[in-house]
Amino acid sequence: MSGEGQTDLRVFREEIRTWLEENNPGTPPPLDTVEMREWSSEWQRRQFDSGWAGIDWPVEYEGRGLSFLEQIVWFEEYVQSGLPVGHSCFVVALAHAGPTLIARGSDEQKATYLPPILRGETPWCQGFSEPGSGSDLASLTTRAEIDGDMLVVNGQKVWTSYAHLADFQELLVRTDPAAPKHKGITWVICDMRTPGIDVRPIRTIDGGAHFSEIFYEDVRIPIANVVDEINQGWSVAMSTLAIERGPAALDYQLGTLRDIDALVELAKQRQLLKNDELAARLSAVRAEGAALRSMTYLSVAEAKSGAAPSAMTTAVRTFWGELQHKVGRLAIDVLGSDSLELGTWSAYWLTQFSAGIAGGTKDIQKNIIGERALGLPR
Amino acid sequence: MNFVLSSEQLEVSTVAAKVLGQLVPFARLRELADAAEAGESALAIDEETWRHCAELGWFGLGIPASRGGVGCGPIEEVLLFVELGRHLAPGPFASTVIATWVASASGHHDLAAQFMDGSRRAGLVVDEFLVDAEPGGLVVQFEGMSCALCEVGALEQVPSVDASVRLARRDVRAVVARVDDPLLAGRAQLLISAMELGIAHAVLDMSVEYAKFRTQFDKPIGTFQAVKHRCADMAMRVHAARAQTLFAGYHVESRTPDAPFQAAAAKVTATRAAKLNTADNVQNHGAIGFTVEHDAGLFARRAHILEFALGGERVAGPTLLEPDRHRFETLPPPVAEWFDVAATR
Ligand SMILES: Cc1cc2nc3c(=O)[nH]c(=O)nc-3n(C[C@H](O)[C@H](O)[C@H](O)COP(=O)(O)OP(=O)(O)OC[C@H]3O[C@@H](n4cnc5c(N)ncnc54)[C@H](O)[C@@H]3O)c2cc1C
Repeated sequence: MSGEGQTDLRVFREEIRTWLEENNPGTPPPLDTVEMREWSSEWQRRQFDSGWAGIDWPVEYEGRGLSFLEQIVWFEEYVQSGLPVGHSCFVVALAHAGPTLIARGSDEQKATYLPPILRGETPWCQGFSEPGSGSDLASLTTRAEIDGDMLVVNGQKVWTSYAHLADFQELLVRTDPAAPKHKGITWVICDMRTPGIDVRPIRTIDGGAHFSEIFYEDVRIPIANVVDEINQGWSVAMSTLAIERGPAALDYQLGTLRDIDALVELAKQRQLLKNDELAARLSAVRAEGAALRSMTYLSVAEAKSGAAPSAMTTAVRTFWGELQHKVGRLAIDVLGSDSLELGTWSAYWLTQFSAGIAGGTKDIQKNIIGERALGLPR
Repeated sequence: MNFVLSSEQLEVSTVAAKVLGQLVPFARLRELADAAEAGESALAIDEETWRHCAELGWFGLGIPASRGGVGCGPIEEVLLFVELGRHLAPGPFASTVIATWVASASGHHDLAAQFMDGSRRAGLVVDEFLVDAEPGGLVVQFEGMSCALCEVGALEQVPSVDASVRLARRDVRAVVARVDDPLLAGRAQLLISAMELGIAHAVLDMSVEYAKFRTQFDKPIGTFQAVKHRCADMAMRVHAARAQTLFAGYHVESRTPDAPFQAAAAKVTATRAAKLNTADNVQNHGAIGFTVEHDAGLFARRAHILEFALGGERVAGPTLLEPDRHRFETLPPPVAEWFDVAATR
């Protein structure tokens, strides 16, 4: 349809820019509290009402049905507008719960769950990790027993981002303890308001409390909520992780580029570009930021063209995590002892510690690159 | 990510890989280097091989057909130079291609024709040195946005870290041709980036192969996470350099305002990939990698030379730091097209 040189895409970009200018919520999102949910819902609803939600989601589920190119242009303008990136409790719903359902859900599940996500009604969370099962996710032990047309769940999840604000959960449970560990897992949609669920927020290193531990006691979930088949959950979870580790985070990634820009600006203000070492590190992160974007666009184009997802998609995420580590440390070096005061950049530095852990640690990602992309022996 | 390249473009890589494997295998590279060290030859590459490359159109690849070239663009040039890097092809390939651009764009068509038919070569000015310059020959010199083709003065050879690259003290005389084009330096950086990418990729392949084959403690060393993760790091650097070099190629081809920034980002990313990967590759091989017989050293040395070609990171740095922010609004048309093609579902 359109290259950037042609008018329709430029018009589309202009439309987004104008809309964002006129509709900027003005106030920053309150973090981690119930007010955050209100803020996120309202903002998501406003985007939906103007046709900016689910730009590349199918029209039948109330998306716009446009291509990923338009979605990218939205992300770019969104990030460029200075609006906060990632501070939304809809991140799981939009970035991988919705896309997992689009890829693997039944028609009924899609019709039930997708539109409310776009309308800003239902935040989701991801119940994969457990106290005993982090990197070794397939060892999970939260148990689901079949009772007629219901699953009865007992066990515990942990590190569940925005669990305290979410209505639904991507829940992984063990339905067949006798089967080999990858074969007895089920991916089920869990309504967080079901009796027997106890969510307890956990405070984080950067002063937030966005994730929780969750206890399940005889939680009854309809079998109709199972995505794909019972005991096929590992394969569904792999779809979720492929999306989560792939293009899902594009807006966050572009956000890192914006953070780098802000840091370069700060260094300029402080006349620190004269310092060869800092200048070299700053230009290196700028170059790596550009490379991150190039890699992402290539892998997105590849994924959308139907090519088998390459294990190198994982490399993009890992590269990005390491870039965030560098940016965090660089911020401290640009600020010097001014970073002792808790502020935007010192908080950024604390937050970036999670970039090598969340979504699968960088060590695990490097195992995946080594074994699956390079074919090294296990 | 090859799907983004057309089969004609991929053909450039395939042909170059095949030809270079036959013309300059590493054994030949070593012969040429030995001859240079023994003072037997002033040339980095023999005339016959050079002419053969000229016949394949390599020196006029990016020159419009109307001016006697092949009529391809920066992407094809990148693909060719990745192979030149991977095979450690000796000789002033990048500087001769740049010289052809300069001669052609400044109306020196006879000179351009000589570069294209292989009867002339041009070396490169790198700070206080001349790289692969020849007696009475020409060298390419960048000054900011301007690129000049100059005559070489006295040629005082000095020992080079990479014996397959000729190094002389800088002595530059009259300017023969000059072009002012802010995109020329970027396009030239891409040639160097592409060679660095080829090197980074070649040593990744070398390390992975060795890690599968070399056994210690009754296991292939690739089972050890320290080695496996080093290989994964190498692969990530290659992936980043490749994506950025190609992406920058599309920017240069489409002459977007962002092209100089993107090309500088390619140079920095590819330089880091080449220097870090060649070092990791030596480590992955243990003592054998430290010997002169082993090819690991050839790659490390060449990467070292290329790191400084066209000013290296110090020159690319200011271009990267200059803009207030990354620009998103100029997606080069070919990139926009991938998403379009891809989006029909
Ligand atoms: C901010 C944040 C948000 C999160 N949000 C969610 C969420 O919403 N939902 C959810 O389900 N989970 C979430 N997680 C959890 C995350 O997926 C896990 O933390 C991660 O998979 C690692 O598991 P673990 O913490 O148990 O660490 P472990 O698996 O115990 O790892 C500890 C250390 O050992 C290393 N290690 C372990 N195994 C290997 C191996 N085979 N090879 C090499 N090194 C190894 C790890 O790399 C790490 O350094 C979140 C985590 C963070 C930090």
